[in-house]
Amino acid sequence: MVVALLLTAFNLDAAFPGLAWRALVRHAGMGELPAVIALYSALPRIAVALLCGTGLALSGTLFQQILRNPLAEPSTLSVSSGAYLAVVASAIFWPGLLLAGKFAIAIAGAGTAMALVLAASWRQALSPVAVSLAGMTLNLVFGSLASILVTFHRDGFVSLSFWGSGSLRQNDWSVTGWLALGMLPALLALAPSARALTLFNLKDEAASSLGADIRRLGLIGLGLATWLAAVIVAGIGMIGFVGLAAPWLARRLGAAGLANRLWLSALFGAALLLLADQTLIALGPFARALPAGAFTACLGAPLLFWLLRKPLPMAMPPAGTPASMATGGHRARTTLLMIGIGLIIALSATVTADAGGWRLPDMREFATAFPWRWPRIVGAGAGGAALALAGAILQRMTGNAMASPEALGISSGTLIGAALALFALPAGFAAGPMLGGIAGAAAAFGLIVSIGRRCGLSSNRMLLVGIGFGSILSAVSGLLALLPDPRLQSLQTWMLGSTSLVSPDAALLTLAGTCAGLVAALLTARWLDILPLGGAASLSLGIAMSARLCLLLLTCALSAIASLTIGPLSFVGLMAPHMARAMGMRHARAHLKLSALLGCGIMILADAAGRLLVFPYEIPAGLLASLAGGPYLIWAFRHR
Amino acid sequence: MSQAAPAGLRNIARRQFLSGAAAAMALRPHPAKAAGPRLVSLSWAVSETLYAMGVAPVAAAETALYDSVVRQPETPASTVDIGLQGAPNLEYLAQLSPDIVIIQSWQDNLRPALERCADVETVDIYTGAGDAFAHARDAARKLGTIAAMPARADGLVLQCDARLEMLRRRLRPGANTACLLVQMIDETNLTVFTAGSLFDGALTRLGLQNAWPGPPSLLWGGAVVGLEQLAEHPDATLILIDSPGLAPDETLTGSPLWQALPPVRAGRSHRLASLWGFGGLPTALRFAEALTNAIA
Repeated sequence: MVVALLLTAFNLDAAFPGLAWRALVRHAGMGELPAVIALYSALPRIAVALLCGTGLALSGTLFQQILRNPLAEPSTLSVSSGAYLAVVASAIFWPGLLLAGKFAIAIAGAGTAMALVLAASWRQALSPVAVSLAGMTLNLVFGSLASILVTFHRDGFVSLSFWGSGSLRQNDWSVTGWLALGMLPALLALAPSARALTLFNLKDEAASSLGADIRRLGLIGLGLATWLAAVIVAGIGMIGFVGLAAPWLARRLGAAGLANRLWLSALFGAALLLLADQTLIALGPFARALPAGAFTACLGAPLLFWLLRKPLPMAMPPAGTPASMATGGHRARTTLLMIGIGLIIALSATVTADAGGWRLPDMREFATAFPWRWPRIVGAGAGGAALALAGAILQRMTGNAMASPEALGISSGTLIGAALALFALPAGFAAGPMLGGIAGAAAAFGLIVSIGRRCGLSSNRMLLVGIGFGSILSAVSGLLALLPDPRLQSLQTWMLGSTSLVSPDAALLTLAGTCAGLVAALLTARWLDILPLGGAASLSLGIAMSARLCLLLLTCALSAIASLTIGPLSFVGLMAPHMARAMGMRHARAHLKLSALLGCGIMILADAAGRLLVFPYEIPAGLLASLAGGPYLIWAFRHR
Repeated sequence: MSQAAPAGLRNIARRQFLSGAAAAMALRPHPAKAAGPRLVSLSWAVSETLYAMGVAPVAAAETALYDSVVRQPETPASTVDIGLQGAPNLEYLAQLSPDIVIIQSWQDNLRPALERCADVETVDIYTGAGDAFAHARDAARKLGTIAAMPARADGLVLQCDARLEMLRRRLRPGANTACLLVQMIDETNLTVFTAGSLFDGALTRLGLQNAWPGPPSLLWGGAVVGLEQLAEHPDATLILIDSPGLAPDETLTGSPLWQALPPVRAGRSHRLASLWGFGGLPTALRFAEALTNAIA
């Protein structure tokens, strides 16, 4: 706090030397420029930083208290991205909306996001791992929805995404006023309920034995936290890290009692955001162009990794034993599915769109289209299968049905590397993003193994590494989105999993990689049958660390292959294994095979739909699949 | 491409007549039957340059958005939409069997795929270095060669030069003015067009100076700044170019900070109708016309 204030004072003094602050208003009234800038730019900017920092810290503290989850904060719970998506959509469909309307829409979006996260993790008693995974998954879905809106309604590169990056720059006091007004109801409601919320320090049983209507209380608290986060998103956009870091600092300093932690973290939040913003100002013109939100998001990821070193409280209940409905008849199902996929491929290879609609092409058209059509079908299918295999291995290995390669962070790592390469390397170097992607995947893998080593390579905690990578990815893409640079578009279509540029070579390579992966996975099937039994059992059966390492390596390789073709966010790695399991595939061999088939079918279908729906424009296949994946996730975990 | 191109050009000529400026692109409608190669343009800067030369490509990227953002010259009726600039519909492209697909250097990632169905030509306008206006001029000539109509490209470039010279003479009395060229990103953030931008090139050719000293941080020659940074140049003439796609908004210009900027208080601020800062030669000339009309 002291540092933040000193830096602010330093910046103010450097910008406005010798300004008599008392006479400020009078001078500004007379239109003296330095006074006007101080009064209408510098001071409101400080005020906005303090307000938003406070709000985010309070919101984070509340989320962490009620969910008993040190990782909970507006951005990991997808509350911020829900609000952001709602506001982006409203900006496109109702341009010229006033700030008050934006507030209402942001609150609705944030509330919906919160409700979805709760719904998805309800059955698992809102355990931290379940909540975090659901939040992160939804975060990605909202992010990809927002990207599609921005991509298809781009206004000549004056990008909507700039707004979302949390620039604190001000030209008057209006945003400050709106923020204060919007946060006030939540603060007023928080004051009397803070005492009651301390009940969440107790174990659930103890709390309910006190007779308190703990559920209702929890919902009120979550509502307040969501409200605060939404108001801030509507006011200035997305700001990561503060809601995570401020409560953490307060805890580290040993603040006892909820009331104390709220106060202290509010103080830290305000100081942190002010410090971040003033640092950017002090760093000079180039840094000054960066919004504070993008900057803080970059700071947030290391803290997440730090927090993940320790186990989360309340371990996830072991995944329920799979429904043993049909143990026989696998062969019949698999055959049926293969026929279905054959049909999908046949249709996808032939059906063509033109201005008039969909139809079957004549021979000449077919011959022209085919050289373009087959690589994308093969690429999409193989990519989908690879991701599904990776997901199946991961779900069996961790015994967690919510696990997916997306959550492992490999996909995000791949994309971070590729994005950085795209911008850091000269424009003509076409292989740059691909090499960067491989380097990114390797880096992500290294981090996963180093974290996994501490917790035995099987813990659910490993899955949460992906949250860290996801937040780096959103920070990086947030930073890139600031450059209204046309190269972004190619990056964006790729991040969304566009299959249209897949070359014949790349398609065959993906296919070969996936086939090799399938063989390797089938060879490990015995391990996978034993691993879900739990650490002790599998250790006694002689499954060493090295087996887990092998499986992890295989998973990483498969997801890297896939995310370079179908993008990092498709959720096929979540959906397909889950569906295969729901269809009664108990044994690892059958589970793996069916998952691969389903993943293949889903992606080919998504590819065809993306090609046909808004001709001549193409919706990336990965994006379409993720739009299906989000709702599937919610549905699947509601009805488990 | 039979009647479409001339109709589009007539339309432009009428608009410019109405706006009081002499026709910027005083191109007479060209005889439309031109047996040039079948072209596809995958970027708006290339599209507008081709249209201005009276060349109708068989397909162009994002034509609907082009017609609402760049606006003129209009997309010829015979030119079909081929999808996003960064992600064209390749199958459809192949069906159209073009001879040459024209991209800009920032689209080089598309090249391997495009080369599978046509020759690919790259024009450089925005490279992050050098003078985008000079590049746009060279690009026009290169496009003329590609379209097998070098005479029309020469005509376009010569008329553009002549028109700029006329505008420069009109400005002569008040010349030596340093301008800040800004465009809104949102209510508080602006793009300032720096050296290396298309508008900077047009500005200096009009005999004016760019008041912004800093280097570009964006590919198209711009940097993101706030109003407080504009205050550091009190003697400049402030030119606010409306953002294509953003509704003209009074939040920025109504703010006390904007009102206190020395150029605004001295009446040296002007507002230009929306222009897309990432265009080719026709956009540069439209900017020069609008600027001259504003400050002359």
